[in-house]
Amino acid sequence: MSNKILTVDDSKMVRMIVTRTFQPFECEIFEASNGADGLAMAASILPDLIFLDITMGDMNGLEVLEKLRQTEALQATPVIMLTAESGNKSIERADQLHVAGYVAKPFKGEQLLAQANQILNLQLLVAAQ
Amino acid sequence: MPEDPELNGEIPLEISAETDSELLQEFLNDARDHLDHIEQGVLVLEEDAHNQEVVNTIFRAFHTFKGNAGFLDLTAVSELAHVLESLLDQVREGHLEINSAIIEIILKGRDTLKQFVDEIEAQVRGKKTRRPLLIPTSALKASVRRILDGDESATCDIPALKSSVPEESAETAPVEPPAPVEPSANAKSPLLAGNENNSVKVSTAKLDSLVDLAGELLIAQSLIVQIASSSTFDSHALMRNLSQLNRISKELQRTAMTMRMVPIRGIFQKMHRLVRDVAARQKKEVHLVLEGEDTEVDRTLVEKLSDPLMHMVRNAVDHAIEPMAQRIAAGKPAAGRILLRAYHKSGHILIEVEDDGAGLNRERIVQKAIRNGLLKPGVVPEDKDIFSLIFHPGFSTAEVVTDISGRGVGMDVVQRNISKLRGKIDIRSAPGVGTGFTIQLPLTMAIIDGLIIKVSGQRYILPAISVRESFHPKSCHITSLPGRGEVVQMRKELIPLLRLHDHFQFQTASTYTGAGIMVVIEADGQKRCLLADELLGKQEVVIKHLGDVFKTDPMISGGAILGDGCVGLILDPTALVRLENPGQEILNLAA
Repeated sequence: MSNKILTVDDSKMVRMIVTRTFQPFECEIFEASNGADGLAMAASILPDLIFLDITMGDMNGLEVLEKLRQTEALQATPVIMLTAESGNKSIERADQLHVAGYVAKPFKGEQLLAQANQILNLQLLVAAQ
Repeated sequence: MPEDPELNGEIPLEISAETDSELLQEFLNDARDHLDHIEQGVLVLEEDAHNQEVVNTIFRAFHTFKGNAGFLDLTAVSELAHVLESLLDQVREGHLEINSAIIEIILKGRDTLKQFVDEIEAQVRGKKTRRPLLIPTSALKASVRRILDGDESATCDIPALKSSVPEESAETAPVEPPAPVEPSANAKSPLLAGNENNSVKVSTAKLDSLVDLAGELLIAQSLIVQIASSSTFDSHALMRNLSQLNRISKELQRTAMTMRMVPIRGIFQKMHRLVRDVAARQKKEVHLVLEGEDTEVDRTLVEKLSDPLMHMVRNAVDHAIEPMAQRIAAGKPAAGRILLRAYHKSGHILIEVEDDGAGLNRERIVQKAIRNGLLKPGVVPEDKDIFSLIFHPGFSTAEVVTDISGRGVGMDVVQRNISKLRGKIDIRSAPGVGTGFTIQLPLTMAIIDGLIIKVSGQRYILPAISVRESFHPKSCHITSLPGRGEVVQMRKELIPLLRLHDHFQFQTASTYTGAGIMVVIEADGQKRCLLADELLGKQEVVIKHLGDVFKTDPMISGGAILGDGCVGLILDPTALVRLENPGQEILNLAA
């Protein structure tokens, strides 16, 4: 079964980078541009991995994370935080909410892959054919 | 925040050849949005320094700027955005209060970022050769850091753009009441509106072709109606269905047309910044009041309206609104007021630019016109004619050519731009009370109300907005003036005559008088009499571009399919009045 990856970030550029990074692999990639959409999408597709931005317009990534953890079906979904700020209180709070990892912006595709590979069993599309 | 000694030097910015062009494009798109948000946000903060939502919006804009630039290794951009983000973060956390110094820094930062974005865009589009960019940012960054370190005098070394507004004016009431509409209008600005639009992006080319097709549908249908109404068989049911079809296609056309309409808000909002900057440079206080920002205008009009409107508003702040002391001496409120209003009226869009300044100086205009030979001494034309002289090329009554309005386009260019849009512009002015301009524009560029004339069996269309009147000429009307060609005497005016037959080199049917009809047109403030054979009527026509075929004839601006399926050519009044005659002597002759 193919993996589902969801990116929640208000920057289209970031979403594009994530999507491109995972394109060569056998997985479905979903994008949401704000927290509310991200939550709604997560609840309907039940992703295997979520990349979540911290600083967003409507609600910040931590609020999204809290809501995810309050939803039964999403309680254990691995979440990797995409963050521009490091070493502050948001990291602490995110840790309490069991995130699978952090990637600091700006990042390279390989950094995402390295983190994702510890969670998902990624298969190159070419290999699958 | 510790000072990093390395950052005191400027960082050159280079777009590497490996940078993904798609990502770069996305960066630019996003950047434009954020620049707008910052600018509009700042204007809200000037009225309401404690608007937390707007502070957050600006913070996020810098934040995203920083992040996106980081991905593309645009270090100079991301570092500048970073310090500005920190500044807003301190405001957000309540450690700093918004004051005019901080507002200046945000705007300066925004403008510097815009410089980067413009340059990057020019290089990406190939308009400029790719080379490292060096836009100074270190002075600005240092100022921000000093504010962050708690140094109040941090802004002294920021060049340019000093606000004349006293620091506390954002919170306390100024000497006289603030402009009533601004804050609420700003509060509704798109950056606060949320993202709940149920819309799709459609390319404008598709919309244009939809409008085109809807227009052709109407024409094709009127051809069928003509055949049906002339046929002999019982066509009662047919006519009924046709009228139903007629209703639907008219509605389709109307809907297609409105799809290309956008609110004029975008241009209007740009004026806030303009007024603010020009007023600050002039040490004036000016309130801009916007009305009818939701008025919808054809997209193609919006783009072309921006420059003329900016020029008029700039003029108003620069020349029309008097210096504060002079206003107070005249018993007026110290702060000037400029009103920008848009509304629809009987099939047209009207845009008014109104100021409460000194009004046009009738005497000075007359004197200058006499000096330039545009007016004979002793002639006393009406106010309207005098005011319209300011649209004459090279006419400016400002005594000092200031750094602001002295540059760029003058009112003649404004008028030319407006007439290119098939619009016209009126002025009214009263000494000491102010000046008002009213721009009248067609609702759409795709359809015109046309007057159909016949010249040697061919049909031509004149935009009805440029037609003043028409009459059957008598021989006594036409005189030949040496060196000036033929003129038509109409009441007190002598108007140059244009024989369309001659221009199109037709065998003429109505060489002289008795036969034929004179149509008086006006464009660019000049009149011409056109001699045609017949006036066939008035009709709304859908403009078709003729491509390169008629490029050689500037007289023809397009074609249209007429009711019977034949093609008529649309004449361009602006080009007609430019033909041969210099034509500027009209006022001279009007004695």
